[in-house]
Amino acid sequence: MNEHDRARLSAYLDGVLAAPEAQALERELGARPELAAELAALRTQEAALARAFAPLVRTVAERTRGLALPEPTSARPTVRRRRGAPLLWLAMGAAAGVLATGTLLDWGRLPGAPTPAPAPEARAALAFARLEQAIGAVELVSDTAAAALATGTELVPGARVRTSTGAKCTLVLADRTRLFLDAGSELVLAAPRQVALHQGRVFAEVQPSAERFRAEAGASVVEVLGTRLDLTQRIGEPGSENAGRALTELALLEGSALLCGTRVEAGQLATAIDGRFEHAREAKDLLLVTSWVNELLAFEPGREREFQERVDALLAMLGRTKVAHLYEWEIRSLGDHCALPLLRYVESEGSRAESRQRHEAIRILADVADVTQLAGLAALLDDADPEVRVSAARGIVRLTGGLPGDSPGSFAEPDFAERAARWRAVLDRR
Amino acid sequence: MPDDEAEQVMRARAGEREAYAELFRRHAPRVGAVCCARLGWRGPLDDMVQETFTRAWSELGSLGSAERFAPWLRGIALHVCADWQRRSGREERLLVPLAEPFDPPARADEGDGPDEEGRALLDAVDALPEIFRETVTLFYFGERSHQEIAATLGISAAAVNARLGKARALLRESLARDA
Repeated sequence: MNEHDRARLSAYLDGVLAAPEAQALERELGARPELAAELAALRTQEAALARAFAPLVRTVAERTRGLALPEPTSARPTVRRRRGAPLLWLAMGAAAGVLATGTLLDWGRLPGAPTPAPAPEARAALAFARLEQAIGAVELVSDTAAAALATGTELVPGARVRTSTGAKCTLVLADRTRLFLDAGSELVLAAPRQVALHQGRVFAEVQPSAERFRAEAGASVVEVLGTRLDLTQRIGEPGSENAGRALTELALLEGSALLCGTRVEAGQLATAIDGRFEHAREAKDLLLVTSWVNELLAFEPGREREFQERVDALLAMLGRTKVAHLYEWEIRSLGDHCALPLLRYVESEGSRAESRQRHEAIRILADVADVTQLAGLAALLDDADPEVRVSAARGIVRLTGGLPGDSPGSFAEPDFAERAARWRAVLDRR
Repeated sequence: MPDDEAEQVMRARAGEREAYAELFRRHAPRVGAVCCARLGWRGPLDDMVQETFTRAWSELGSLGSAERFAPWLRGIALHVCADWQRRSGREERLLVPLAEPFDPPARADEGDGPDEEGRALLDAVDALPEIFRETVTLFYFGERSHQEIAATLGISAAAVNARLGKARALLRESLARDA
């Protein structure tokens, strides 16, 4: 028995031996008993190995069913969340502090939070463009050098901004157009309403104007008057159909745009290669395609309505898709920014007709709420829907420790009203 | 690689999570096999699979050719396992002076795990040299295709066959010695 025989037997066992060789081996098996014995032993071992591995395969499959990705590090809360504080008074004390001062306490900036630019009133009117906020290292580059760019720095026409791996930034132009630059991107601010994306990805909120906003991406050109768009520029991978070619992808959220002279409508994902329009198709879900921007939006004031709309849209998807966990993950990835929209949704009259989404919303809220939502959760303790009551109680227990003897599950029982009144009385006293 | 996989990778890279979920379903057993080969069958395989896909999602932009997704994912899985080994090694060093000899948690054989014969066989697989261990594990974790294993490992199908043949022989010898 040599290596060649072993390889042949192994291939024969797995059914990958070519037909002529397999027939030759079968003839040989009759003449060589030791070869036949080896094959029989391998077959026995084969069955034993399959049996031995089966529980492992099953275990991995069961424990990783679905893509239960943990919450990403993006969109971290701007206010430190108190998780599972042991005593009710601790949380209520914090809530009282919020109410008394009318403002959220500044518990410091979390690691990973962007470096904020100086307050607007401290700045002079913007002449051209400014680096508004940055997560990670952002550089101003030329052909020969690169220098770190500090937030708040004003930029001049021709400025070339680059984000390193893991970094993102927001640029604001004089006309209040906002450009969100993804990691590993390079963008040139050519003129007041003209940019050039050399590589990577930019999300643009273009202020409406009679003057066209022009974004060049390689040899491709996007022209809009005012809209929100997501633009990607990259080179085709070696070995792929478009190897070495400049690929431009445009996702349009509103209105219309011209990509290399061809009209693209809202909701479409369009592609151009080497400056030529290729095709446009309906994007399955632009909310998910553009979710990378949330990390930057989460730190911008005045985005509450946007987050509410986003959470509502994501909640609506939970009941419509087989990959609901992806949408749930997306909601959770908004961090504290999803808590108030979730509460508003559960409180709304309209949500009562959508019990499945309402249950999902209160379930997530119970996990992510902070002390500023305690009053809202307390109000839901005598909701007509037992699942809502139980989840609301679970959220309160997470934040305060709850009351001895009353488990969240007890709010599913008929005497919930009395229990809810007792909990609210304690919360009110505190 | 299935015909539609490169497109799915491209779509996932463009942010389409449904495409990534499909890649997850297709590749999770393969990643489990890679982790099993690296950490042994008693390792925290489910956690490693989860961590691999979480990390891969955030690093999809660094993937070169979409056709290289399987070996790229394997590389990430190996890094994830190495990180876990470093972490558990540190914990082990801290624990050893205080506790009994370190006994790794037998997570995979909790409940409906392999029987005694299966455990002996899996231990014998764990004792194989790494290149054979990984090939065998990939095969029995449900891959069952020399071509797919070859794509994952970045070697030829003939090399996969040679490794499987050698691994099976080594296993027979090992089990005969222990019998």
